[in-house]
Amino acid sequence: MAASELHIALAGNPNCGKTTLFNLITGQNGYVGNWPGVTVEKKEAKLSSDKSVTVTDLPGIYSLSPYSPEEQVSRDYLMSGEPDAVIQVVDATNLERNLYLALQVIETGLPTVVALNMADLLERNGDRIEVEALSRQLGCPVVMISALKNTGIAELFEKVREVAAKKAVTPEHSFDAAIEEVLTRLEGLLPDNVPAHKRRYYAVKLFERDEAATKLLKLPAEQAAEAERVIAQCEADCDDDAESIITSERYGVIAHIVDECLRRAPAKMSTSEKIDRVVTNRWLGLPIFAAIMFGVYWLAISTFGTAGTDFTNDQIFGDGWFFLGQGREAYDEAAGAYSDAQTEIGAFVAVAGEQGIDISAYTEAVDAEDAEAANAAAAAIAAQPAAADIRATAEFEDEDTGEVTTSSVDAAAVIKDAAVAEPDPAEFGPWVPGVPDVVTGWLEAAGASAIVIGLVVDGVVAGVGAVLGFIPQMFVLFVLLSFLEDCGYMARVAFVMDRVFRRFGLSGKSFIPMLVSTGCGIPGVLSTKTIENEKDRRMTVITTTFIPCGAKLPIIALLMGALVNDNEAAWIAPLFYFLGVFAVIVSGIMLKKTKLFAGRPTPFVMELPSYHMPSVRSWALHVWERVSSYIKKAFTIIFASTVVVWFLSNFGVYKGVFGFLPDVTGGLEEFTDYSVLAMVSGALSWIFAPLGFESWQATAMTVNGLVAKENVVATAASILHISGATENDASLWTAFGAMFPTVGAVAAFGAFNLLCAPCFAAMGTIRAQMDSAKWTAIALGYECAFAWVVGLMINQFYLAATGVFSVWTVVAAVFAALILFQLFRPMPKGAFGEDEEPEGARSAA
Amino acid sequence: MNPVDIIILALVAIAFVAVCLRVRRKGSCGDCSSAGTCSASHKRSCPAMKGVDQVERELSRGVR
Repeated sequence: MAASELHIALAGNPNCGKTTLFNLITGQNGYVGNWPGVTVEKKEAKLSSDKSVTVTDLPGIYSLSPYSPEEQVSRDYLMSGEPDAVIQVVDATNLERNLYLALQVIETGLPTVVALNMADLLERNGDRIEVEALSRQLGCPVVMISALKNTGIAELFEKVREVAAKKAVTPEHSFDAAIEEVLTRLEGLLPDNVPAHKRRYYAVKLFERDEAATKLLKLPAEQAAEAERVIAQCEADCDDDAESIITSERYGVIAHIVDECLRRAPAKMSTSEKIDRVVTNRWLGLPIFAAIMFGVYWLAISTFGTAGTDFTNDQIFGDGWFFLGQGREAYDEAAGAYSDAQTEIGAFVAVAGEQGIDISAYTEAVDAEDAEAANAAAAAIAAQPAAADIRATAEFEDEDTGEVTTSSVDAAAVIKDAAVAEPDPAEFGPWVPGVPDVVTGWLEAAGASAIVIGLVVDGVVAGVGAVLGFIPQMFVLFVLLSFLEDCGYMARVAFVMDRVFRRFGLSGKSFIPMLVSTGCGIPGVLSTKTIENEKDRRMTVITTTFIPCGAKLPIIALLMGALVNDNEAAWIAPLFYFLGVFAVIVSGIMLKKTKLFAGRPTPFVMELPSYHMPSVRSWALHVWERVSSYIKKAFTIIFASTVVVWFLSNFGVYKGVFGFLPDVTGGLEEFTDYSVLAMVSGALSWIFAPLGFESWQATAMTVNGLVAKENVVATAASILHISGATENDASLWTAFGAMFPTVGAVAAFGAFNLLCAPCFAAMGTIRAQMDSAKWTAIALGYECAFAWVVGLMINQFYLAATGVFSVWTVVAAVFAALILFQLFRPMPKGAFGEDEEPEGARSAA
Repeated sequence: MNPVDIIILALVAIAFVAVCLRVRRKGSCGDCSSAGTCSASHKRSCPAMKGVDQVERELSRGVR
């Protein structure tokens, strides 16, 4: 054979290191794309050391029986006549399982070399494989290799060239004598044109009643009838079906080979097995998962992430910051003294006003934001004889403890306070102004008008900046979630969740889209396409977007900031994650008891990998993909949305005149109340009145959140900046919290926005996945209705706890009762159909 | 309205239209901003394109 014609196929089970070997020998560094349900690809490349050799990497499979697209593709390629030799990659640490496919490949008669991969791990485990004995048993060369450590590769290809030159191998393994007799008879019935080295393979396939193979054989009717008679007789004798007989025989051969060739070290429990005894424990599995996710959200939102987000929101996109903190302490002290002086002046001037002294000069200066003029006016007021006897009380609140202290203020103190100038941070250290100040400065210097400065600074910079401000928290969250995925823990969670999901009729398979949805709901929804059971798939599509995606993280952080001002209530952020999980479980139980979704859960089988430290590269890649898409969204869809929000909230009708409201209203402080956004949102706000957030601002945030969930925060930031609310509040969240009447209303707002219909893009994906307008309507309708009911219950029960009752309290109680009834009523008869009892999850670890 | 206002408003308008066209063409998928029309380079990392089975296999990577 000419060297230039050599084609080598790489076959093997998933996870046997096939792709690592392929990348090693071809110098490729790519991903092998085989994804069920969409398409299955095989990858080809030239051997690095010999460009005349073409290597084809086949999809990872467990057998050559064409049950799945991957198995079909692999078998078709192997039987196409194209490969001159096959490298059957076998995970040496899992010999029994991997030999099943190896036997089938050898049965094809193709020149095969078995590569025992992960030889290094085998040694580390203390096990030993008798390579020579295995080679004899299989009837083909066997080579120990380590694709990861690049050992044994040269010998492997030496053997490959040898077998390729021979054109065929003859399987040495044999089944039970009675089965062998049947196979021999079947071989005799095969047409003469079947080559000798393939006759056994086709005899086995004929015995298994493999449709595709039988069709290829084109057996005459007489031979086909004879073959069927022989097979039926054998089935009757063995009291089993033909396919099971062959499977059982193969496992018998494998057991024999393993006995002969594998020398096991004395059994001891691996570290992974020891950890699994705890984390997948029937009783501890869920609490451990809850504790870990609590830790993840706590670390991301309440600790490390918060410090970064505070810095980004309050300093980079806020007032500015001191480089490396130099001068911060001195400035804070001076700013504190100035603030105290202003508090005393404010208290004194208020009392002076009450006593009839003219304070208009002071109030005008304050309104004009002219601090110098305000101080001069205050000093002038204090200098008046009528003010000499005034004694005012100033109140100071400690930001950390909330403790309020008071001090008495007289005219002399005010004159002294008026001399305290507003500190200029640049005088205290290397000061870097915030982005809004810098942009405002540039625009003012360029001569831009107020309307343009407002659009850029209060619209784009405030909106996009608010979303970008949450990157530190998002980064920490995804670092932790990616670690959990890559180290092998999330595979355990799927296994643990299977027990929970199975109770309400979903399989652990439905947990995988929910896991994907922590990044984004769209791939989560789309990934459901390979869930075979249609009802399971539809239910997973409906419930998977309840899990907070990355875009909802800023909402959670905003809510957390609005609900609590310190870290004592760190459970708030994780609580919203568990609200999503809770919504999935409750919805699952309720929906499964309806005719639309009744049915048995699909059995879920998953292999549990060993725990391992993720490679830094793949870990970093995961995090980067998620964070970069978040940044990309901020500069695209969020940018566009903030522009629209700015125009809608700055233009409107005031006293019958449409125009730019700050001008039309003559500088009215609440000019946004007359905006188009206020009109449109106000028309919808009645929907949310029972949930406690009937203000047009909250409605606008919710509606804009349907464009992209980050828009809730971006809209809040824009509206608050435009209205000037952030000037009075230290942080975005405190200004946000002040928009709601009660803590219950804030929580209800959060619950509704986290659980209601996802963003437009995800809605479109649901439509594509459901492939039905009716089912899309059911999905979105259910999500919105469920979110509304949860929000209603939170707000009304909070109000009831504070002694406020209304008709909505009764409505909320009725909904709660209905939910409890649906949750706890027995599963209706026939809800699981007529299927057999489902199998539970199986760990193949 | 002076010239600098017109220039800035024009830039914002161009950027806005560009975003609208991009969203119309590619969707606004959160993971790769490309939804189902993603390029080949993104398919390898997009769970949407892989399906549950493949994600599950990746989670099972390194089985012993």
